[in-house]
Order: sequence, then C-alpha cells, then structure tokens
Amino acid sequence: MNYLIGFKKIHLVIKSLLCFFILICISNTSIAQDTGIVRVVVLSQDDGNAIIGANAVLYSPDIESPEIISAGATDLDGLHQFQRVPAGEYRLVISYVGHQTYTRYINIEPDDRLVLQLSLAIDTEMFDEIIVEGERITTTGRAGLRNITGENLTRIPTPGAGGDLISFIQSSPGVVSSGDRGGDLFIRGGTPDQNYVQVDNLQIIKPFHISNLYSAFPAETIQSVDMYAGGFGSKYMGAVSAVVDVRLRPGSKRAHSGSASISPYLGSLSLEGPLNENQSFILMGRKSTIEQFSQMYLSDEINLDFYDITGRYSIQGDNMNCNVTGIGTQDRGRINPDREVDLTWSNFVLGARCLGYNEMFSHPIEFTVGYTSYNNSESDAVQTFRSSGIRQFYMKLDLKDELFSIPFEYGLGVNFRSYQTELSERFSEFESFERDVPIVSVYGSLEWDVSDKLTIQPGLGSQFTLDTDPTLEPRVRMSFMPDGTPNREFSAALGRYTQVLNGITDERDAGTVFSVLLPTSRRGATVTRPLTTSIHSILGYSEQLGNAVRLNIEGYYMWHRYIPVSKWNPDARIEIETAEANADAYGFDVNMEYSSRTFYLSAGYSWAKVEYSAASGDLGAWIEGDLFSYSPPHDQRHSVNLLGSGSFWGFTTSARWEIGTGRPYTRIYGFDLSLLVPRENPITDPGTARTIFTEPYGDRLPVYHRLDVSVERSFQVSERISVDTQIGAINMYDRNNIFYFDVNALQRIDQNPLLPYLSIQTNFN
Amino acid sequence: MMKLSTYRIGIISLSALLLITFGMIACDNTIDPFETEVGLYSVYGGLDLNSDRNYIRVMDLNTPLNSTDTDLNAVVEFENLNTGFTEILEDTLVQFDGVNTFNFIKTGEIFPKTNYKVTVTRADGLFREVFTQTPPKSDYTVEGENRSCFLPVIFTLDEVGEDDTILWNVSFEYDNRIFESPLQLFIPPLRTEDGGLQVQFRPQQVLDPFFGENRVQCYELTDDKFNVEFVHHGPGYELNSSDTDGPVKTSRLIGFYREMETVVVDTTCDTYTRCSGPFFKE
Repeated sequence: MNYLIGFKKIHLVIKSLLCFFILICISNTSIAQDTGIVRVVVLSQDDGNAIIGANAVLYSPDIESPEIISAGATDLDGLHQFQRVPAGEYRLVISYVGHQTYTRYINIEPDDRLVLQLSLAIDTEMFDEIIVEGERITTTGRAGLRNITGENLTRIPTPGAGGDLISFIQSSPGVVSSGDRGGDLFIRGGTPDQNYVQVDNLQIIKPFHISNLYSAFPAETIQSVDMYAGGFGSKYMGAVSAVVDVRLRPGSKRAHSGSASISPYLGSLSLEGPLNENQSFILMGRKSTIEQFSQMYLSDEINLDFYDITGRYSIQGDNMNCNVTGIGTQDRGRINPDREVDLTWSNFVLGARCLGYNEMFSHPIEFTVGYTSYNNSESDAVQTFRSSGIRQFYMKLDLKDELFSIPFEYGLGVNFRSYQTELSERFSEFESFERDVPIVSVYGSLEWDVSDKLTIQPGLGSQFTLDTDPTLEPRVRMSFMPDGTPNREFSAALGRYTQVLNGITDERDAGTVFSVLLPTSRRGATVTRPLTTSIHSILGYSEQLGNAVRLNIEGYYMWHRYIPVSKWNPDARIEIETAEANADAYGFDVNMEYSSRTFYLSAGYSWAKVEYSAASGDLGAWIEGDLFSYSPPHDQRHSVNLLGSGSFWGFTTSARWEIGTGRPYTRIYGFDLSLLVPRENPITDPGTARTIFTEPYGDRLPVYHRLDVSVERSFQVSERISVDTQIGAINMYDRNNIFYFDVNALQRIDQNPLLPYLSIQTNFN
Repeated sequence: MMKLSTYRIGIISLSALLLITFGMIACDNTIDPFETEVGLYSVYGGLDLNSDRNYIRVMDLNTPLNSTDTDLNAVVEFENLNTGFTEILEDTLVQFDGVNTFNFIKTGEIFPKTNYKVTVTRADGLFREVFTQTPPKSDYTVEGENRSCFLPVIFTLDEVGEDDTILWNVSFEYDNRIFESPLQLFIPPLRTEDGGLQVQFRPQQVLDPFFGENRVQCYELTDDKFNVEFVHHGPGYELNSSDTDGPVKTSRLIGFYREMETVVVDTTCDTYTRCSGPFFKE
C-alpha cells in the first residue's frame, strides 16, 4: 500500500514539475520589453564542429571608440547567449586562436531572439604560431576540478596507440587505484561506487577496464573531460565522492578518416566522417590482445580480456544540435591469476542529448534521454556464483535562464532504475532481489558575478525515491581572482551530497572487485541503511607563473557518513557482513605544470589521510573500546607523480613515474584449529579451521613505484596515409610491486612485470 | 620570467629519470604478512575431574595448517599452582584430513578447586601461558522422584562457583528413539543462600517441545525413566564461540566433571487434571 502511495506521489510530483518546466520554457517573462537576446553558435570551418571557448564580444557600433556591451566564451556546444541586450545596433566580434576573426553588425529590436550560426575559417598564416591552451578556463573556480583534453591523455605512456582517460586520472593527485587490475578508482578517500561517470550526460557505471591501463574513453574520441575530485555543483546529483563528466567529440563533418592499430596489449579500429553537410558519425572499437601476447613473450600469463565499442552520431541544425551516443564494454579476467574465479562486468549505454536554442525558447534547453545497463559477476568454468547489476532509463531537462539578472541553471531528472541481484555464499547477508525504483532529482544553481574578481555559484539540489524522503543538498562554489584575471585564483567549494545507490564489495579481499549494487534503503528489506551522505570542503589556489608554468595547490576535508563496510571478524570468513562506518578524508595536493611548444612537464605531490571509524560492536572488530578507527586499504599517505613529454628530431617521447607509500593491509595473527572444549575433544574432533587476523589494516605494504616510457614517431607514407609507431615499456625497471597478499591462498600477488611493447597505427583520410 | 632552454630541460629530465631508475631498483619491497612475535600458540584442553587422562591441544599459530611438520618444537609444562608441582607433557600426533595436530597428554588426577597453568615455550624462549581454575566437586540431591510427570523434579548442588557454568541435559526414550533436551534453555537455575544451585523441571515440560503441549504424555514413553546429566564447568566456559563480538580466543583450558542421574517418574497419571487435581496431592 505504501508502495502504491509512493508511486502516486512521485507521479504527481513529476507531472507538476514537468508542467512547470514546460511553461517557463516557452514563457516570455525573462525578456524585458526593450531588450533582446542574441545567441551565437560558433563552428569551425575545418571540421564543421563546435568551437569551445571562442571569444564572443558585443561592441557598440562606433569603430573609433568601441564600448564592450557584453562578452563571453562559447560553451561545449559552441553556444554563447547574450542576455538582455538593449535594442539597438551592435558590432559582434567572434575570435578564436588559429581562426580568422568574424565580425558582423547586428540590429536588435525589442523582444528579439536572434540566433546566429557562423563558421570560423582556419587562419593559415597564424597556424604555425599557435600554442594550444590545454585547459578550458571555468568561471566557477578550479576547486576540485581538473579539465582534461584529448591532448592531455596522449602524454601518458600507454601500451597501445593513443592515450586513455584512466591513465591520466590515475596520475592526478588524490587518486588511488587498487593496483594495476580491477578498474577501481578511489578519489580523495571516496570509494569506486561513490564516483559518478557520465558521457554526454549519459551515466556509465564502470567504464574502467580490468587492466587499469584502459577505459572506455580513448583519447581519440574525447573532446573534454571535467573531473571533479569533490566539490561539484548542484548539476551533478547522485554521487558523494567524485564526478567524471566526459564529452565525446563529434566526427568530422567535412572529411572521412580512419585508423587501425595493433600492439601487444590492444588492437583498435576507428572510422569517422560526414553523413551529409550537417551530420557526422564516429565509430571506434578496441579489443585487448594481452592475454594472447603475454603467453608469447612474458614470463607470467596475464588473464585479462576486454573490449569497448563507441559510436556517436551528431547533427548540427540551425536551431539545435543533437548527439546520439552508444557505448558497450565487456571485461573478464582474474586479479589473482591462480584463483579459479573469473570476474566479469559489462556496460551498455545508449542515449541522445539535444540542445535547442530556437527563437521560440526564452533560453536554451538541453534534453537528455538514455538507457544504461551494467552487470558484474563472479564465476568459474561451470557456474556463476553471483551477479549484480542495474538497468535504468532516464530523462533529464537542463535549462539556463536568469534570476534577478543572475545566470541561473536548473533542471529536472527522472530515472527509472531497476536492480537485479543473484547472490550466494559470500554475500548471504543480502538476499537476492529485483527491484524497480524511480528516482527524481531537481536542482538549481546561480552563477553570480559579484564583481570582476569574485564569482559565487550557490546551488541547491534534491533527490528522492519511493524508499527515501527528499534530500536537501545545498552547495556553493566560488572563485576569487585578485587581479581580475585567471592568472591568480583562489577557489573554494562546500556542499552536501547524498547517494541512493550503494556498491558493497568485500574490501577484506583485494582479489575480487565484485560489487553488490543495491539501493541504500529498501522498504521491506532485511537490511536497510541511512543514505550515504558527505560534506565536501575544498580550498584551492592557482597561479600562472610566466607564460609556461602553472601552479595548483589544493586542500580538502571530506566527511563521509553511513558508508557500508565489511565487518572484520578476527577469523577469516568467507561470508561478508556489513556495518556502517563514518569516514574522514583530508589532505592536500600540489601540482606544477610546465608547458611549451616542445615540452610538457608535470610534477604532483599528494598527502592524504583517510580514516574510517565505526562502533566496535557493529564492525565486529575484536578491538577493545567503543569506537574503532582504522585506515582503509585505499589510504595512501604520500604519492608523487612526474610526467614528462617532449618532441625533438621528429620523435615524441613521454615518461611517467609514480611513487606512493604503501597502502594498509591486514597481517595474519595465526592459523588455528579452534576447539570448543570440553564439548569437543582434542583427540576425536578436528575443531574449526581459522585464519586469524591482527588488527584490521594495521600494517602497510611496501612503497610502490613504477616508470613507464614511450617514444613515438609518425611517418607520412602517402598524401592520405600515415603510420604512427611507438615503442615503450610499462614498469620499465621491472619493479615487482606487490598488489596484495591473498590471505586465503597465503600467496603474494604482484602487479604486472616489465611490459615492453611496439605499437603501430595506420591512419588514412 | 622562467626561461629554460630545450637542451637544459632535456638534460635535467634525463638525469632525474636515471637517478630515479637506479635509485629505486634496489628499493626493498618485501612484506612480512605474518605476526610471529605476538601470536605464538593456541591451547585447548578440557581437564576432567573424573578422568586420569586428559588431552591438551597445542597449535603453532605461525604455521599454516597444511604444514607437514610432525614436531611442535616446543616444551609444554603443566603446573599445579596450588602445590607448585610441575611436569612436562608428552604429545601425541593426531591427523585430521591431512592436518597435523599436537595433543599433549596429562595423566593423573585433576583436583577440584585448584589453579593450573599450562606454559608452552618456543625454542627462542618466547612462551605462552594459559591459566584455569577447576570447579568444586559438588554433592547433589534429587527431590521429586516417583511422582507425576506434571510435578517438579528438583536437583540441588551444594557448591557451585560464582563463575562456573552448569549445562543440563535430560533424555528419555519414546518409540524406540532417544530424545535429548538441553534443560537450561527453559529452566533458569536458582542460586541457594549457601552457595549452591538448584534447578527444577517438570518431566512433561521436557516432552512438550518435541511433540506439542501434552500431545505425548509420560505413560506413553518406553519406560518411566528420565536420565539427567549435568556438566559442571569451571570459570571460562563458553556455550558458543564468541569471537565475533569479543576478543579473539586462542586458548580454552576448562576444568569440568560430568554426572548422570536417572529419575523415575510415576506414569500412571494420564492428564494434568487427574494427577494434579482433586485425585492427587503432592
């Protein structure tokens, strides 16, 4: 009955919200009678796609002494909107580095909504002088944020053609991976299930491949990535740790091109091109080859297999643009090669994102509809032991308007999520279940330029389901630039975050990354929990030193509450039971980048501390005292990342070295055959076999470090064909870094040994 | 302004890389996953006051269970702390599914109300000590024999230590099968003023959990006997392993003795009303 009432309630709320949104979309209220709106969409003549970050300036028509009426930069869709432009004549100037400047006189009548789509031609004279700016400047500050471009990714040595997002993310300060297998990332103390990854507004649950060297996002397909290591704004609901927001690039609308590559680790195929003047596609597939090649030239067999397929269709209309994106991934392999258990996971994402800026709308409307499915399982050659996954169909509406003359972004999301879980043995605490849960989320966020130097972005979001009451998630981001330029910037973020989805893993056993996905709270379930909640606080400082060096310093403190963790029974038990823990994660990062035309150097240092605490009784710990505190296995205290990339004599070399202090692990107190005397007799009863642990995570693994290098050279075979060759090595000096100690098999599991490679990629256009 | 030539940057980078490479190759990366200084041996033994041959299992906590070692390489001493008498125990190797267990034999009498200590000493001198106190040997009386199944049978033990545990078990025969009931599950014992313990039960109450209330009555049993067994344990006895909630236990040395008494009941009554009503006086 409650369930029915809940459904009706949600249905009513959705209907009301939709009506409200539709009304304000077509309303005319935001335009004052004597002003108009100018929307500019900037495309590149080179490939017909949007130019991001182009300067758009509206001058008074007087050429002798022009006055800037309004100015801004185009967004990820190449769109910039001038709001509340008084009626009159203006000179519109659009400029972007490497492109010819566009100038046009426009006349605005009261109540006008002018949409201009224009293409900038490549400036061939300037082309050689260009130094590409790697980062997109954001107005809401850098606190917690890293802007990543495809170019950033190619600087990281990877054993195959091109770069990959996960390699870059792992080199970012504050990011800890569980090793070189498993595809789990821990960002500033958060756990993998607390990260939210979306691609073109479509959620993808676990896009990181089992090898930890690759993800579903190769550099070739990426336009930009915003990675928030906490402190993200109200637009992103449903995660309590980090957000990775990926935008794929559209295929070229001018020419067809393609490539094929092969290396001992990976093979890939890609194809892109126009379908007509306004439509394009891009298609890319990659498949691992390391399982086959490792048998041929490595001493240890590497049991990892994965593939991903990405497709994207783009259409650029006069008053809208749309992208249809599809991604499929599949991973299979073993973290401990000797354990006869295969881990598998798969993702499927299909959806469309459209941006409409028709004159009919008072403001641009972004609409997303998508379907996401994910499943992970553990199995042997005969049977599947357990599996867990979700399927979800969702719609999102994002709008930009003004509130009290301040840019206002707001939106509504509806997610029909279905959980399917089949469990046995280890996870017997949780019953197998299927459940459908609609989730509604709303948000609103202002971007208030208090002055030329200070920008504040306050926001508020809420989400609720059939099983949970509406959450209240206030957040604020701010940026202070003492000089009024991005050369020096103080930034800060503070906010409250909740999550209605939990992923339960057996963190006692690093040999598995299987995760039970379940709603945090379920009516009627035997195990119900409060919503996982976090508070983030971040303070950052960034400074441009000269033309080439950029310094970033950031400190943070995150409070995570109601995190499900594995109970630590003193004796090793196969079954997992969970308890609720609270976590405090704090630390600071320092990162310095030197960037010139031929060289790129980056040095980062991170100090972090993650401390979990739980009631000793709840945790099942045998430690005395009411509250038990411990450092979880992703608590890496110090880490240093050095990255260098340079081009000389036609070669491009890259090297990446990382070192991190050891992560916590639990030592073994002893092995025993326990007897319940006198009921059991030493002579006739074997007793109960036990592996007894010491205090959980009481010791640390040795220091981890690894050097990856690569040298690359391109050859132009003909006018239309080029070949990129790359040689390199992962773990150059063959360090046998420990992955973990398997307490069940009493076996030390090391990470991958020296992995030399040669990759060849053929490109045609 | 920072200006570095390409050449200098290259040299600096290369030098740093080489330094790091050669400096780190030799870096130690071994781990010692076993705690060998704190956890030494586990000790499990029941000291039966009624037996002159008892076994104490000693396991080396630092040796995996699949070890093929046939010698514990440790000295096990058994000491009567009341008298100071110490003896070194000999072991017997018992194998369970390929796992070797070392069970040390204590021969001779175990005394009631006596403190004992078992010391296991490793070759390097590190040792593990385990203490226990044996329970007093209680005299007991039984009241209520040869009465109706609906009337209580009372056991009284004259001396029971404050931390002692007594487990009761009542068995009877019905339909050629033996049924056993752990009595402590439904009858809370009473402490007597003089330090003893009294426990009582109604025989019919023992039958009901198996068959339903009054569904089977005493006259339907194979015979008129109820066998009552009790085991009197000294301090430290656990009914179930409590490792999940409390400190990890790698030792249990428990003194105990076991007694058995047969209680005969009157099976001529066939209903509660008839036996305890106007036809019957206690």
